[in-house]
Amino acid sequence: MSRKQNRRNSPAPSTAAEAADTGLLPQEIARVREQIAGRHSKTALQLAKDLYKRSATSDSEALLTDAYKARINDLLKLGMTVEAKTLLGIVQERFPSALPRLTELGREISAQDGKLEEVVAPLADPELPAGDRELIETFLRQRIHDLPALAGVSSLPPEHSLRTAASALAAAFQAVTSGPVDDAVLALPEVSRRSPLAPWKALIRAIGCYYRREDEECHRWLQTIPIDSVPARLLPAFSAMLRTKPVSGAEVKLSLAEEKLVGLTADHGAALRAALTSLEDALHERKQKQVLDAARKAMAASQHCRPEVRDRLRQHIAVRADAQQVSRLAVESAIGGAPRECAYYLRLQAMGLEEQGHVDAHAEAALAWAGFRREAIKEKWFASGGLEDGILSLHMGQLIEKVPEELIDEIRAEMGNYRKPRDWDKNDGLPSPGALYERACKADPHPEAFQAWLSWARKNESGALADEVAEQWRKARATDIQPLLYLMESAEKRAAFKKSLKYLEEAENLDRLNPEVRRDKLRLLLSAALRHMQQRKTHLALKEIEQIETIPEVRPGEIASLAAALRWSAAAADRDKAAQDEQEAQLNRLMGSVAAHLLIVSVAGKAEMLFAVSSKVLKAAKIPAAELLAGVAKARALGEWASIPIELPREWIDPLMASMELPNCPADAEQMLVVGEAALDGYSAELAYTVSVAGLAKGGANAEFLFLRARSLPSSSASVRREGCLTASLELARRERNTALAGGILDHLNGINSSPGKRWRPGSNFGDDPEIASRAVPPQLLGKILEEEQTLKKFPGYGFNEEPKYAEDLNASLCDCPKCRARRGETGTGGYEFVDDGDEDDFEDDDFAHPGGFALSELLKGLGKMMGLSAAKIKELEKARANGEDPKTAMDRILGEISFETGAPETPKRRKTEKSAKVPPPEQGSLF
Amino acid sequence: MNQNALPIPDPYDVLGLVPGADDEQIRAAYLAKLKQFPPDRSPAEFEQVRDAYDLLRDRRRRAQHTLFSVNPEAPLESLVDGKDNDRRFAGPGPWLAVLKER
Repeated sequence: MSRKQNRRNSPAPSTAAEAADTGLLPQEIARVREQIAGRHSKTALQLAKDLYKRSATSDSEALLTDAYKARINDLLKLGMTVEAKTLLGIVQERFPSALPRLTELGREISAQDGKLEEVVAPLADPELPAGDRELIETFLRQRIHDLPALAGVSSLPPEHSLRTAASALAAAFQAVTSGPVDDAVLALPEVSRRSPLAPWKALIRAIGCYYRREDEECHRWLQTIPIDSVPARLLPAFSAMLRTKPVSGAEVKLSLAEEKLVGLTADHGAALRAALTSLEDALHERKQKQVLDAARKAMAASQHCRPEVRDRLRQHIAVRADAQQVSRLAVESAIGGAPRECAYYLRLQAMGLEEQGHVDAHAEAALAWAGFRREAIKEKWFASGGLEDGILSLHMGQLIEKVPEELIDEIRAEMGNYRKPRDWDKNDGLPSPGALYERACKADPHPEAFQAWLSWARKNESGALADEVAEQWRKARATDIQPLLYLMESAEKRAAFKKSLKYLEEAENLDRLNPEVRRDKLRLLLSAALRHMQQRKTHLALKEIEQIETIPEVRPGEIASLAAALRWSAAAADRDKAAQDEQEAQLNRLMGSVAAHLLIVSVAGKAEMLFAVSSKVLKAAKIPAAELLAGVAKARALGEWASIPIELPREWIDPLMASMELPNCPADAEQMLVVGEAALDGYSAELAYTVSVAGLAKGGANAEFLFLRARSLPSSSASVRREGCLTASLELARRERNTALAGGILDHLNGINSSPGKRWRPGSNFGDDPEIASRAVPPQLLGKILEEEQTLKKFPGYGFNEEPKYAEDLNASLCDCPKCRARRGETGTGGYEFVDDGDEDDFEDDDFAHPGGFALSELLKGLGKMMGLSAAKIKELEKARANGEDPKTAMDRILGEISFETGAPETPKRRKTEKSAKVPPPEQGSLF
Repeated sequence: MNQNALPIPDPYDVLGLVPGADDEQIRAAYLAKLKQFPPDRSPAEFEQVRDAYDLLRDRRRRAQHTLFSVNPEAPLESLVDGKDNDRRFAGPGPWLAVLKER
């Protein structure tokens, strides 16, 4: 500083007396102290020097010493130890009286210089004055952070308490920051309460408690650490790690080192868990904006996680959000990018899509599985053509089979738009079920795979392919019966009877007692015998009858009865009356006259011998009820077993109804049910209904009788009761674990006819809603339906009927789960809407309003669509109704002129969603 | 899948195996677990071990597990449970870095 500046900076003494006393003015002293406090040590030193030069008093010397101290401190902070040491030496030389005040600086310099020995050396002297000892210990407490160095100082003996304490603390600190430790490590008996290193003991215990998640205990230890000690420097970081307020009460900005420590060791898990819980809630509530916000927060809270864990989170969040139809782009933006499309993700995506349950999603799931397969083979999850590949291919085939062909074509066409024409292979991304099943069977020749392939080939392709599949199955698994049975049936259909018998023989060689083999043998031989009788080759038919007689019986008398009926027909063909009488007598002995009559008439009908039975009449009205019912049941049972339809003569309907209406109906439940099914086959809905009345009154098989009743009720006039009975019967069957009955009811609801090829009959699915299968049925509703139906003993007829009392409760029980709502198209948000297929034969309701006050339009629309009837036929039915023609007769007449295709259930309507089909973008490469 | 149902333990975890273990390894792991959880002393654990072995010893069922065992509706928390959540040990370095600051 120049003299001019000095003059400027040094105000003139305010009073001569003050200046005379101290040589320094208070302002001058204050100015120096200000500079020292403001850490402008260089300026402070210069000012102090000037003041000392002007007036060398004890005060100015003290002021100068302080300025030197500040300067030396600043040099030390800057790491300029040499300069600090030099300056200290100069000060000590010039101002020996200031030595005591400079001792600590000396220690600081020694400590920074790595000469800790010099600092602690005086402690070795047991005679060291207490004050000096305290100063050194205070210095150690406030300044020393290098415990290993302290533990190794040579100026103290190894057994000195300071060294042993430092050594124990160094080891414990290393251990507690590196992994879980026992209590023994934290005990630290070497460190006394009065040791200058005691704060380190508290720190180590606090760290131990922190990692054990004993936060309260941790906090208690931290509070015992003196604020001027070295360990206290960790208090702000601990506040952040424990998410507590700092000791000072004010927010402290963390230094870089503190932030790094917090970032490495803090508990981020709680925040992440909370964020994920919020995300789960948002997904459950299906609120798009909330989902996106929560996803964003969750990914932000996962910053501390390993990259692979974050990847997984991204993948799962993407799939879950996709299930809620949240915009994919928005989700990717929220989670910080597209999820990694590895095998794991594609599998997750495929399974998520399958869970959605509708056909659009099935198609997309199949694509995802194809992608998964590609990636999984690349990532070596399994080998191409291996067992896993086979199982996966089977699964994909079964999935794609559920997707309507037109949707598959649409997807393939859309995929084609993303590919260059020369690269495009239509089946590449979405193979046909046949190709998948073939791949499945090659990789995993399991009966399940072959059965799926064969079923698909039978439904969708020519018989030749199905035969080929069966042959492949046979070659791959020589001991399986199923392909032989199929080949036998196929050969029989082609009239290749010798071949058919050859396959049968092979099947018998494998498993003679197999019920399917026995059944098919019977069927084949029976069919051959009847065919030969039709051809009037009775000698051949008799040979087949002899073979039939060798088939082992399950129920005694059944083979003999069947053989007798066949022999009767053969005798009729030969016009051998005596033989006919003999066989008929034999049959009467075996089965009774009622069953014998029914069997003979049915077999003769199949053998085209109706002329022989045209005169045969058995007056059912004269037969006791018990005998009549038992006979019918017996004949039907035999017919069921031998696959011979046993029809009830029309003139027997009334006597059978009268038998059923007897106060104590002699038939048991099983017999009643057989008669009921016979009634449905015989187009007598009223008889079937009467059987159900008797059955429900008897009790014990309510599920079966309710199912019978449901099928006997006319859809036109008792649709609600039909629905109620189906609902109740299915629920009862489930509760009773009657899987056969439940399966039968479900088949009925899905339109699967148990007797393919049968003409329409009253029991057929007539617009019954498959959604009944997913209905929740509370016990009260079940009870109401059963109770009310038991009281309704009169057949409702085809006119107007009041709805049952349980109708309201029935409507309230529609299943409300998201999947069922989605299937019904009731999702609301998400953009599902049904698209009418635009059937040309759509009808206006007005066309069919009935003058009596109810409209048949809904029924007839369902009829038209389901049965493929033309508008003309529907109008004809309506006209017949309007003219008062008996509905049974009218339907028989009109529908009897039409042949029906049965078997395949109605495919679900394709639902158009607001979003476009999820076709992967072109950059996904070889998927296409 | 019912998100609220108790999660079925992974058979590989139960037997202490990594996915991809072969038949020999599966059998050896099963026998080791049998010694650890004999049926008379630890019936619940034995049942789990037995179920896991039954699944893995059948190659087809094992393959089906490999393919279809993931649950897209699994709670998101289950993805991070036990991983990266605990307070991590960082060694003495970061702590000393703070202590050295004045």
